[in-house]
Amino acid sequence: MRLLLLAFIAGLSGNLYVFSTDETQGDLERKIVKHTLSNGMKLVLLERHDAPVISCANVVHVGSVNEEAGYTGLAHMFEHMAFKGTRRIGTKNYEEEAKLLNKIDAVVDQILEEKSKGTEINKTKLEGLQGEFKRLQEEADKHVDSNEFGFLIEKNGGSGFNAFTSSDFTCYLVSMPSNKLELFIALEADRLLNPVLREFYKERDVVKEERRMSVEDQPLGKLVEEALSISFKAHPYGWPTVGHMSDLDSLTRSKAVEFYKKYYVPNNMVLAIVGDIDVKETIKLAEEYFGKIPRGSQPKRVATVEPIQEGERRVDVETTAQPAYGVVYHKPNSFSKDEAVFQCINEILANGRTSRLYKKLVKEQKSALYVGSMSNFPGYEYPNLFVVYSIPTTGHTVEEIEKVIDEEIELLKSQLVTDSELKSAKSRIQVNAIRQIDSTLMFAVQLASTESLTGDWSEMTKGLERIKSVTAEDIKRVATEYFKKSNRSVARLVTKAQTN
Amino acid sequence: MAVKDISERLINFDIGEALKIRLENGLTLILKPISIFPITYIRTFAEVTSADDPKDRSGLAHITGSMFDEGIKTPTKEWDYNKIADFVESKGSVIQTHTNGIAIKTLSRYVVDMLEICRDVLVYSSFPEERLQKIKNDTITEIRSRKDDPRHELMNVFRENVYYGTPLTSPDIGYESSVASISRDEVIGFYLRFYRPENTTIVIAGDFNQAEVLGCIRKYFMDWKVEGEFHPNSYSFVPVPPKQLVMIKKQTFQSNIIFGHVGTTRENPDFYKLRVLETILGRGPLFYDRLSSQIREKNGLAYEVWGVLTRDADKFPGTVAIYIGTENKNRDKALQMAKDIVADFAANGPTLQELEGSKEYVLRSLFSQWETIEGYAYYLLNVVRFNKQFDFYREIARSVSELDLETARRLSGEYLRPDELITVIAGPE
Repeated sequence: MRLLLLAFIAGLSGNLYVFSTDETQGDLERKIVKHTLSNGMKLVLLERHDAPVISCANVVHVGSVNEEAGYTGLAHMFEHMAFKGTRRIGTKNYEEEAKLLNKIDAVVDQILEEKSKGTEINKTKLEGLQGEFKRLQEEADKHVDSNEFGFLIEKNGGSGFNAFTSSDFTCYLVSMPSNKLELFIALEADRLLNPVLREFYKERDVVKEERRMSVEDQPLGKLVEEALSISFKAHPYGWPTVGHMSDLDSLTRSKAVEFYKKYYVPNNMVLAIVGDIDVKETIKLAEEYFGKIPRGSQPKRVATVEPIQEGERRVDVETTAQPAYGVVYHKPNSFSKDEAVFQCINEILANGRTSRLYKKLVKEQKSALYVGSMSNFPGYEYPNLFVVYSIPTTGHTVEEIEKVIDEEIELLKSQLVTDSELKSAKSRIQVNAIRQIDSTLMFAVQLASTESLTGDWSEMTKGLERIKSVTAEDIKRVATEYFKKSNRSVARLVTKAQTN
Repeated sequence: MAVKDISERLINFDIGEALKIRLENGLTLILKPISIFPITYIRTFAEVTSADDPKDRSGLAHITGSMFDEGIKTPTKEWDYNKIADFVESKGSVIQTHTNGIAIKTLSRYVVDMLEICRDVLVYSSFPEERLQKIKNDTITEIRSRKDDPRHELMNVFRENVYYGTPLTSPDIGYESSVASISRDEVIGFYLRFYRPENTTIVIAGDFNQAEVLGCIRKYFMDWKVEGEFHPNSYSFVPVPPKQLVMIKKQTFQSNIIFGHVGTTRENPDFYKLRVLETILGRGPLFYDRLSSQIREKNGLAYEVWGVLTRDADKFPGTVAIYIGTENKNRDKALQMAKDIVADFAANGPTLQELEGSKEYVLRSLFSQWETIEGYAYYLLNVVRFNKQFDFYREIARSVSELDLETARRLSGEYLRPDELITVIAGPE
């Protein structure tokens, strides 16, 4: 959801490996308990009794990658709807409300059908339907107890109650006092078992405002959308998580219910709880509440495979804004044997102030305000992108930036990185990993998302082990294999004057 | 009952061992050992803001802060920016500069090395001319980039108008022309005036050995002295009446709107009571504050909408500010709705139910600030800056729990003044 979305994706993209130090790794692995409920829902639990608090992250293995063409934004939209309550929470009279919601669905279907007639639209009929839609919505609103679900969480000491949608998964998170464990489990089970997508069309308007704010009025947001769009011509990683505006206009409540039934099944979820819990008691409560939810069909992985790119692709986004530059290279997914190598390249090339590109562009040539890179964009699960991006300083151009980035990438292919560079990069990866989990809530998110995507939360620690064994030769080999012109796309933000 | 419970929990809460020391040279130290993760956070904080920028040199405080890690010259070593970065990052640590000092986050096993580098950049910065030009150029690029974001420009214009006639009117980062004219001598003069031990606090929170760190601090900072006596600036904050409506023409899909007026300082005894009130008006959780529930939830007019009574309040007055981002066609409707909500809140204040719920929320959120080591560091830094004790949370708990409906209604009318609102709109004409 909501405000956390972009910040969180930025934080997650790049490194799924989190963990601290060798001396505590063994302890952690012993303490974490994994349990699968009878309906296939997984739990990952860690007892930590430092404070009377529990941090909970429920990851549903569904993201924008699972959407269909014409319905982009549905995963994110559903995430918004998961805060709207259930048959028991958020309503003053569910039976009456349900009747009205069904009537609204029928009218919306008629509106969409009329709109689909193009030049044959009957405007009078359409206006009548829209009037009826408005009237029914106002009627339904009378039965809504707005925000009751969130109010219950807050009233019982919850904090950080939030959610976010990525390309691969959707995560719901909250911290609660530990004596409210049963209440949390009961509420979470209720919203998974009995969600009511009330106020759907108003929330759709809110999401459209989110898109206007984060993409349409943000030059860098537009650039990212264009870069993804030209990089993936087949795979849904090319679609924006927030959705295209016209697709948002077509989203309906019934389509969202269909989406929910397909993906929000217990065998597609991982709940991680870190904090002041008793593991046995927690499993018992989870079985009691979540166990009621029937197992569903296991959602299928996305079958579409992005065809091999056979030539460089480029896009210029014309704007009145300051210029910016991004280059993306196709690479395997984050669980491939070479991911550790990409992580090291990321550090050496453009992450941090001792990285090669930072030294060259920002410090020496002073031609860039900023340069950075990340692996695994926009998601982890399917073959994805390695990204390098930069913003030129006043008086410098994207062409100058591109030239330097190309030169440094060529150097990775032609020369071995030094031992000290590699050692420092590995050290920084380890510290970054610790920094990412310095709150228990973030730790719960990492546990649940890693378990959800890999089937094994301990990939968090194994990833770091693989980084230890990366060699300079590995870096040269991987750079040569993937950082080819034919395998890349270039996206530039250019001022209108520059292109005219 | 819930407010009473949580208030008692706070009053009975023990923040644990923490130490405050003032060295002979006037430097204040705060040490807070916490053994959650093997990380230590070091933050140095000088009492200086952009309000201290001289006339026509807006951005000087920002530039000076940005220059700390660009070069050092100590009695035993001379390092350029590369060597500083190499040293810090080779230890897997991160250093960040701020207008008022530096922040370092490090694995605890390198805390001694990082305290030394902290001393070096704070006491022995060399402010190389060539790097100053680079930082100025970067800052100018950033000023231009911010203009690409309609919300940044909106906030700048709002600030200029709300604080018109006071030293707070300029943006922290400065203007292109003022930044371009800053010289190295001015940076050094500004540094020597404000970044001095008697005007600085260092807070260290994390997993460290207290005796070892204390020894290091004494060794590294005891001899830090700056000639002359420190005289902080004193200002008059009586804003000149500004324009009531300012329009920024922008070809955007959304209209960005902010309105408000000058608020109060953090030193005000009513500060946490105002936090309770603003939670009801427009910064509550999960969109059930009045602005969000009406404008976002009930009418779907905005993704982002908020309203606060204490925005940026510190030792200087903050602002009362209400923000809405809405589709252009809904601009007038959303703005009128927000103004009506504000007028009603100023006239009638909250309901008893809203008040009790908000008190509970504000008290609970005090706990969440201690979820990270940075959270501890900033809490302790602020209680020291405002001459409070480490258990200031107990005072807050009492102040908030005692807030009754009559007082809440009086404060709503006193601190929210609909007839003084300045409105700034960025969007198509």
